[in-house]
Amino acid sequence: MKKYLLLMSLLLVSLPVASHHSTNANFTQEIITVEGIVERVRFQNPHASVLIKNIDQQGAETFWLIESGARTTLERQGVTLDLLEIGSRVRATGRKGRREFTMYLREIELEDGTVFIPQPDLN
Amino acid sequence: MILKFALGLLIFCVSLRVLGQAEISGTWLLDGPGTESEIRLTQEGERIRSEYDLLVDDPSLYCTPASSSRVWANPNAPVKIELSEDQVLISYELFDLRREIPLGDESMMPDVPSTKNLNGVFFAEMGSSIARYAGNKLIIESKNHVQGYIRTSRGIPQSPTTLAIEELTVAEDVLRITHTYIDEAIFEKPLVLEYFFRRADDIALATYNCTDANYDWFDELNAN
Repeated sequence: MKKYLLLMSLLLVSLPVASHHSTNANFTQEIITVEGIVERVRFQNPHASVLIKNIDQQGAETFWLIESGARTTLERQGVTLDLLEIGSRVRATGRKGRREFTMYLREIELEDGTVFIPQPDLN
Repeated sequence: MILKFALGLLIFCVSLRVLGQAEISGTWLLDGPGTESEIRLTQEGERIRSEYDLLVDDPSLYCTPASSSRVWANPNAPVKIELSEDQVLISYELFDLRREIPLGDESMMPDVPSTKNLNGVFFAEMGSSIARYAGNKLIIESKNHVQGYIRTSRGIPQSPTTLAIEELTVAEDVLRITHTYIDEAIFEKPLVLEYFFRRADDIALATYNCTDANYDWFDELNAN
């Protein structure tokens, strides 16, 4: 059974997306899911991000950049990306980006079924 | 008797004004999306807007403030206002910006941009500014901008001829900022934006250390 890690459950106020560039403008409302291997995790400002490599049934590789909030905002809310191990398989769900192969992360499911939601207030 | 009453009234009014000004000091967080007036661009304004590419031209991608109102309107990024006798210092967590604004008249308008980051890089996108009080209201006037964007999502521009007026008031611990942009080259009528902020004095500004978005490396991965 999936465990939901609501690391920010103590957050009192629902806030809009932290973003140096406009999230609503850069990402559509379309929700997509992509599976792949974690290649890189960047915990930085203005956007933390996870790079994953998806391999389709024909063996073609596509890299996806999964963006999240600013490091300063996530840190203030007690969120880290330490759960995301390089080389591990994940399944990311979020808003499809206007830039090809990008997504704004809503939740990411780890290999063991754990679901990590960095910004629950966005869901 | 009348003199005493008048003097008392004067002291009361001055106290209210000073208290009102002092209330503006502190750390604030954006509260809600804000409002904007109807945007009516001139032909030149429309030309700049239509050429804007969100994925390339947004100055924010390069850790550069797009405009003063855009920097205020950043959710979750605290802004600290410090008032002193001769200046207003506004510190934005976003991009580590520090905005030093002299209090005074037009003669105090600095020759250089009023905003720089912690590395000392100046940003003329925020203009050169002076500030003054009008009762409880703090008014900041800025000009000498370089090309920038008031609305980065839609490419609503500012230009070197833009006059930006920020009016700050506090009521019941809510900071209200009205931005008025006047520029006959860009707008057929002034553009007015309004934002509200809640007090967040318990939050300390962190060092932002912005990293340029630079998607080139990512695009290259998928090109190979």
